[in-house]
Amino acid sequence: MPTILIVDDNLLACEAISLVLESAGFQVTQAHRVAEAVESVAKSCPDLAIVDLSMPDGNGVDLIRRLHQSHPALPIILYSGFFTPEDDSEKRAMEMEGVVAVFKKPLRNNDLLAAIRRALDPEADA
Amino acid sequence: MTDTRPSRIPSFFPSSPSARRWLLFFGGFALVAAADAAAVTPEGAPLLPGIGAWCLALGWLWGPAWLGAATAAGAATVLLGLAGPGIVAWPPLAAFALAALVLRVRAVAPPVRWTGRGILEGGCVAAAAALLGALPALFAASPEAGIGTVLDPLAGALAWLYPFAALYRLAEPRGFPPPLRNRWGWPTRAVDLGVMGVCVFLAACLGGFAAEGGWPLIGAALAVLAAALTGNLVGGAAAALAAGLAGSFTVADGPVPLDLELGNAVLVAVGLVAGGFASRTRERQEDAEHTVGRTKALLDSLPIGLVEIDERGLIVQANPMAGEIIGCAAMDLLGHPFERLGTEASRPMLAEVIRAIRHRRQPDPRFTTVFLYRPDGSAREVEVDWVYQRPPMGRRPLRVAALITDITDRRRAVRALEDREHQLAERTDLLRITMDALDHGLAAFNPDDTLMEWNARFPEMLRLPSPLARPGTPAIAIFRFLATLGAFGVGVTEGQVRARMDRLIHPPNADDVHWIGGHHLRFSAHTMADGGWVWRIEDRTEDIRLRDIEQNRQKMEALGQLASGVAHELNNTLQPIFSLSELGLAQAEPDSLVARCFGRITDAAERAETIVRGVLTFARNAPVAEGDTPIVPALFDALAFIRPGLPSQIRLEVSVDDGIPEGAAARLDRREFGQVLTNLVTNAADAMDHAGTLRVDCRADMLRYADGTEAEPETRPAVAVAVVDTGKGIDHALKQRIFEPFFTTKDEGHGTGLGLAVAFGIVRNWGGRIDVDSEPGLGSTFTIWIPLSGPEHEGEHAHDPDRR
Repeated sequence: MPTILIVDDNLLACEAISLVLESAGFQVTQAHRVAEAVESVAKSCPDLAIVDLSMPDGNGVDLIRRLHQSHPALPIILYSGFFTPEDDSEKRAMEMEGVVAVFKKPLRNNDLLAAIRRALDPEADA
Repeated sequence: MTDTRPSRIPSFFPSSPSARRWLLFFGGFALVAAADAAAVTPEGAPLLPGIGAWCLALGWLWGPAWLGAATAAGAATVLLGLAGPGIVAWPPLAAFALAALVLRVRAVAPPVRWTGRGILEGGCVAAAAALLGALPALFAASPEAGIGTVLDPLAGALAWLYPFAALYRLAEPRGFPPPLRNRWGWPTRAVDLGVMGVCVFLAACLGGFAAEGGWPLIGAALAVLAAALTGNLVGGAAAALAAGLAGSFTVADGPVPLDLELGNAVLVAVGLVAGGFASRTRERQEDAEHTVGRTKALLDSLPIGLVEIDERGLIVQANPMAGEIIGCAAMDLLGHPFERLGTEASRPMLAEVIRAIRHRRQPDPRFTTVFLYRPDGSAREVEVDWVYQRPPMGRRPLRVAALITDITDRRRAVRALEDREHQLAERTDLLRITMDALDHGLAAFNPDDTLMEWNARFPEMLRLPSPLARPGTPAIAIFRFLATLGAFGVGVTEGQVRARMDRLIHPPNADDVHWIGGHHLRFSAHTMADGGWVWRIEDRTEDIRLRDIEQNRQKMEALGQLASGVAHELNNTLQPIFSLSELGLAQAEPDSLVARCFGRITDAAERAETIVRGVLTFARNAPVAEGDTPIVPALFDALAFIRPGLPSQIRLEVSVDDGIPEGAAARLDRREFGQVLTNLVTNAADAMDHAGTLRVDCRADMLRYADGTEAEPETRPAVAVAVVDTGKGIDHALKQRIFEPFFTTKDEGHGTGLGLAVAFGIVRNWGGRIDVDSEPGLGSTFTIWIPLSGPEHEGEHAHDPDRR
């Protein structure tokens, strides 16, 4: 059963997404801070991380860079409430190493689950 | 030549010239008559009274200064004649006459000038003295001869004294006018002396004839002749009387030799006539000299230079002022050619004048302005008035008086004045031009609040009709007119209008902005020292518009930041709603109540998401699209997409101005462009209650950037797209807020209040501007200015993130 780490400082959002993922059969770990996320990844070695770009104790971009350095194989899905449809920061986030998908809040369950499945099983998608 | 006569005449003498003349005339006559009566026996004695009479005549002739002395001498001679032999009396008489002549010469013509005239004078005096001195010798040479034999030559010689004296008078220098020639052009004096000489000579020669008994008649005839010729009736009459009296003595005293008595009588008559004539001439001359003296003194005191020039162009007379103007003593000017006084430039003109004088013409022009040199090399500008009077033919030598006025200082002053006037005129012109060039309206009012002066902008800005734009228009009339334009609001009373005016013209001259003829005009006044005031009108329309734009921009920026923050928070909050409602929907029984509930929650969340996206569009500061989009085709594409969605009663008219450059393009996203147009057109259609004509005008324009500073706003070529509706219009107050997010005039449930805010955000991201112009009741015009792309347009105001 794949383990997914959700990193989001918004507890409600974090809880809601983990409920969705758990009901889809994933094991979910939550982290609300950068430090927590780094620790959690080191400890439980998740199969995938969903990271909110804005964090209270650090930048999501930094976190992604660190996660990718320590676990280059870890696929990361990025999402943020600060993206706007035409904003090119979304495009830039997409180009980051390790990032497999970028979503803006609010993201839809189906979109998220599809992206997770694609990330965990690239062959199946291909 | 000063008049010293009163001081020289003894005070016991009558002061009136005519009284003196009569006194002396009759005094002399009495003496002669008395001597004649007494001279009966001794030889030579009867001659003496005649000499005495002559002395009287001479004394008279030679002027009042010697009158008393001559009279006294005559009297002495008579007494000597009475007392003893007449011979004894001759030497002192001769000495006296000589002294008188010499003194007279010196008195009349100081200093003696060695001119031809002076020499002639001296010669006459010497000859007269010599003749007088010779008389005693004549008597001494023939003592035995009877007194009658020497009488004729003696009478002749004595008679010739007068011609000499007359000649002396002729030679005597005198002032003007010198009546030297008579009407025939003959020298007056020469004629006089000739006539007199002839008369006397005839008298002497006729002595013999008279001895035959015809003497009274001859004496009378001579007297009349003399009187006629000299014009001296008194003298003539007196001579006749004297002759008659002498005759009567002769008849009474029989033994007296007839020829002696006759000669004596003739002598007396002639002497009296001559004396009378001479005295009259003398009086006249003295009066003339007196007048001349006064005239000359007057002329000398004149502030005008007076120079007399003869026909050779030489200066023959000059007054002190002339000397002062020319810078030397007046005396030094005499004999100097006038022409040579002029500067080189003035000489031809002066030469022309002299030529005119020589040809006996009035110099033309009569007034000439010339420059005269002074000895120090400087020049004076003078005006010369050539006073030329055509002389009667041969009447007197030709002279021209030049009246010289030094106009150097006057001319300088006039020139300075002219310069000042010129400067003043130039300044006035400059002021007028400057005033007219001003963008402000300016008008000066008199202290009584009437219009005095104004510039071109003043009536233009106030829309003043020409009857009001006149000097003297009362300020209140202008204010009343402005009130009719609605400048002070609707329904203002006369008192309110007056209060407005008072507020402007009385310090502290409260500033006011008035809305006149579609312009914001700011009134201000400056009070002048004399109580007048200047009304200044400034068009603040553009400033106020730019200020509004800037204020709006700042407001929108603040709103954007706020909205952006709220939107992001909302997005975060929407996340669990979406996640959980979708999860719930997935887990619930299809079509169950729970499923429907979750479905509605998802719908509501979606609507909220749409709103948040709109807010973010309004608020974001996205980078500019990279490609250039041709504006006009994009406009038509967008309208083609919009048109089907519009209510069928709305007619859409599109016009594209020719002034738009071919291929005008901008950095914008077609989708955004479509969204902006959709928002604007939909809004317009809503405002028009879905019926009427909706116009979209596309034209070339300039886009002005106000950066909130005082600096001149920057401009850029742009395309303006105006969406014109004929709807309800927008209040001025609402206009300020119309681009704010969630500001809507629509009913609840119609629209999100984000359409214009989104359009605002998008247009701003293009670097463009959106604005609304509206007249309540008539409709609104929303205009977007899209800056043109391309290096030639972007140069200075490229969208540079560092700039802001």
